[in-house]
Amino acid sequence: MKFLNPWGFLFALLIPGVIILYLLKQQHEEVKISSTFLWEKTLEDMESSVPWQKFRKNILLFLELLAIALVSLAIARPYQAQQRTGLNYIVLLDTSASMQAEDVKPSRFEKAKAEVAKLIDGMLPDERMTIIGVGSRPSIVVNQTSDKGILRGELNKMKAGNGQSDMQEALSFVMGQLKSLQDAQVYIFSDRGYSLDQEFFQSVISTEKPRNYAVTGVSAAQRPEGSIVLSPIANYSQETAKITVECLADGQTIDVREVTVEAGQTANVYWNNIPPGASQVEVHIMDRDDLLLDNRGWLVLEERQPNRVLMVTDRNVFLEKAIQLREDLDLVKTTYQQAEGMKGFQLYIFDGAVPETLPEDGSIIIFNPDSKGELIEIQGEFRPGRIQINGQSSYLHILDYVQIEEFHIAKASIVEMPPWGEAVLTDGTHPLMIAGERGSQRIALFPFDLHNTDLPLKTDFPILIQNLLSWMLPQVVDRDGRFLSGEEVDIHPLPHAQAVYVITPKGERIKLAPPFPAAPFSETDEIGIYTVEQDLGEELVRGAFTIQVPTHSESDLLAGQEEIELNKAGEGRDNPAGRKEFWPYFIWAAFLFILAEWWVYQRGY
Amino acid sequence: MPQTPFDSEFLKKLDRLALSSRMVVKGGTGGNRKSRHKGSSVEFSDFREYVHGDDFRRIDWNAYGRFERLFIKLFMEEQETLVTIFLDCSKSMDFGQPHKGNLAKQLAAVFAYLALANFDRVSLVSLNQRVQSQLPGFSGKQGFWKALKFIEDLPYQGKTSLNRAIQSYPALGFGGGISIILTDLFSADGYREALKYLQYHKQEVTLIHILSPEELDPPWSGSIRLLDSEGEKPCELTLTPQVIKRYKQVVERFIRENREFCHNRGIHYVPVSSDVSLDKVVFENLFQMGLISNRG
Repeated sequence: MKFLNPWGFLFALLIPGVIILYLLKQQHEEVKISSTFLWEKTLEDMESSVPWQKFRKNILLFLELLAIALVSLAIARPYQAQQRTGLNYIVLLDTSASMQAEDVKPSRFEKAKAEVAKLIDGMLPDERMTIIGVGSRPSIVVNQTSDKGILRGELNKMKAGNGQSDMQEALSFVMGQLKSLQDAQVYIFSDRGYSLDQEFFQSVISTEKPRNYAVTGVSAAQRPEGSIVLSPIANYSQETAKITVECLADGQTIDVREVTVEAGQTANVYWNNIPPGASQVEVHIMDRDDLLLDNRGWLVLEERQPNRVLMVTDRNVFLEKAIQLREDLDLVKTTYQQAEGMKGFQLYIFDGAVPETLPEDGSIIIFNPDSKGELIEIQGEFRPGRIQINGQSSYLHILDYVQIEEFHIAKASIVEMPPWGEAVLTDGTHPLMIAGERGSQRIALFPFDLHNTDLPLKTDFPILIQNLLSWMLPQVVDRDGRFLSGEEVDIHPLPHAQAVYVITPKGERIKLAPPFPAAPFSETDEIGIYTVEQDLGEELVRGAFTIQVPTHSESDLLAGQEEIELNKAGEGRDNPAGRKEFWPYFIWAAFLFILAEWWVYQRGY
Repeated sequence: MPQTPFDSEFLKKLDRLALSSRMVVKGGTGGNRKSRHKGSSVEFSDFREYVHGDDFRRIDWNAYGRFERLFIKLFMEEQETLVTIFLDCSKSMDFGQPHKGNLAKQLAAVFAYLALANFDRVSLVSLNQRVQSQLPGFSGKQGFWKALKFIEDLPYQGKTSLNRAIQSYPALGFGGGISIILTDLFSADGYREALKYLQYHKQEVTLIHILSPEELDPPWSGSIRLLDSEGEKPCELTLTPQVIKRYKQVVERFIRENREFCHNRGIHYVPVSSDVSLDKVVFENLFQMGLISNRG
């Protein structure tokens, strides 16, 4: 027999305490009487009638000591040694959105936590456990700890997220760990099974008939008379369901419909009467099901403001045509003389000359600069050779779908490399295209006149210019502002933004920039509408994006369960939860001894 | 010893009492007690020289005329009896609330008074593990005050050995008489041999067994160390209701065995608790048992 909690024997320290108390108590009160004649007879009488009378004098003490000894044993948790010791447990706990389903009470995640807690309880003192929360980004919650208090504490703090789980990444991490760990056992607690080469213990937590409906997306077609919103409603149950769906615009209920959706099917629901000017639409399934997270979907309806572009040129038809291919531009053309001091544009294009002071409130494209500007120093001219791409550049996306080898340049200026930029194109000796960022301002420099090249004649030219414009005039948020929980959101601040904040659906205000360029926003576990606030100094510009549950992977509560036979992989491995423990017997025995003590006391022996 | 409750009214009551006829003994000289011998109440029996304390009315003045010495006429049916009162004065009697020894002394005084009032001779003997002191045969009511002083002054000391002490008392003779023993019977060597010894000496024996309320019904509880007043080994025990119950059974058995022994040997056995008033002991317990009766 071994003990799970040898510290429990400290409880036995009570034994000397009780004995001392008894000794103190044994100091009899002295009573002077005439004669002990009859008392001696009484004692003789009692001792002759009860052979173990001498023992009886201290029977209460013995019973108490026995009870304490048994309780100490119980606290020390003796068990039958049935398995190896010194194990390393690695627990992978799925924290994806589907784990919040309540088809298992109180929820799949809580049930899984209870199973992990059982595993922790069953750990021997020399065993260690690593707990990995497997969400959209797996994270190590506790690393190789044998302290059950820490393990339980950290486990209790864990919460299921709203995203998907990247079990593959977690498993590849575990595989790496297994190489250095001996006697490791891997336990996967998830609501789906995984086909694995290794024999891992899998606990799949779900029921056979979960009931779940989901708003799998919300999209809109904007029209002058108002938007039409499409929201597919999916029924992931095994029965046809009548689902009540509500549509809200800016928080006001627009319509409520009852939709009949067959088991496993999706019904498209259109909402025509979205009022013009509405900025946010929410579609909401009103029926209660096992997973409430995916019963809501959001859409942000934003009116696009055209980008104001100032083009300073003598005349450059090629450039003008290529730029005007983009529809959302408000293009203003002017000459050098008039360009000085003009402000308020998102993009400035200087062709042939550069002002002495460059504007700071927008991005800049420069073709064929002269040497007047502060930004650029011209050191002469050269005849470029074969154009090459600088593979190290971080701005290669500007050249997407562009065949650079087709281009030829007759004459170009030798430009000293400015500190903010890097060469994207060179001829091997001098740069032919420089791109870079000054704060939130993006700058591209072409040290040649387009008229001295065959560039405008190539079909790649408009592509290059559009790529350039996309980079120069980014949408604040990509992908029409629709993201899934756990994904990173790239936010492109306006060139003159001084600070960028993201306000979460709960109202938490998170500073994203400075420093510029802004890092991707990754705190996207919460679902709902996030607001992006850009401080331009004089004004605040607001945008929004939505974070939704990845319904394609999380809403089907039965997904992944047919892949393996449950627990098969765990067969033959020791299950600590099945370890034979004896503490309840000791507690019962202690209880019986305490009862006996009470009985003896009542009987007055 | 507290104030002796012998007020005049009590003494008047005593005056009407006489030791019961059941306590009559064979033989003896003089006294007011009827003999078992049949005969006229005025039948002359014998002369005896006058001693101090004798009733001077019985002086035979004719004999005085002839011999110039005082003689007393004795009659067959009015024989004088020697009443020996053994008073246990061991330390264990110095105990109790009310005090056992006080009751014993008071009862001794009562018995002495009654005996003297009946013209019997009285001996007072104080005992512990031996005869501690004695006031040998005296008679006449005047002797009562001497007896009272003797009783009052008796100290409580030593252990109890009734067998040894009584058997060592020499002045009994074989003339018969009455022996009254006042004791708690906490005697290390027992008491039965002593009683047999007294009966061997033709004594009519009365055993007054005095126990205090604490001895009959111990008021203590919990763990206690009982210290023996006579210096015996202390007794440590935890007084639980069970133990108290067992103790009471022992006390009952002790009294029962005493009573049976005394009954079998024709000895008067009177168990008395010291919380019973002297009046009650004298006028009820002793009276009811026939040890005392109204005078003829």
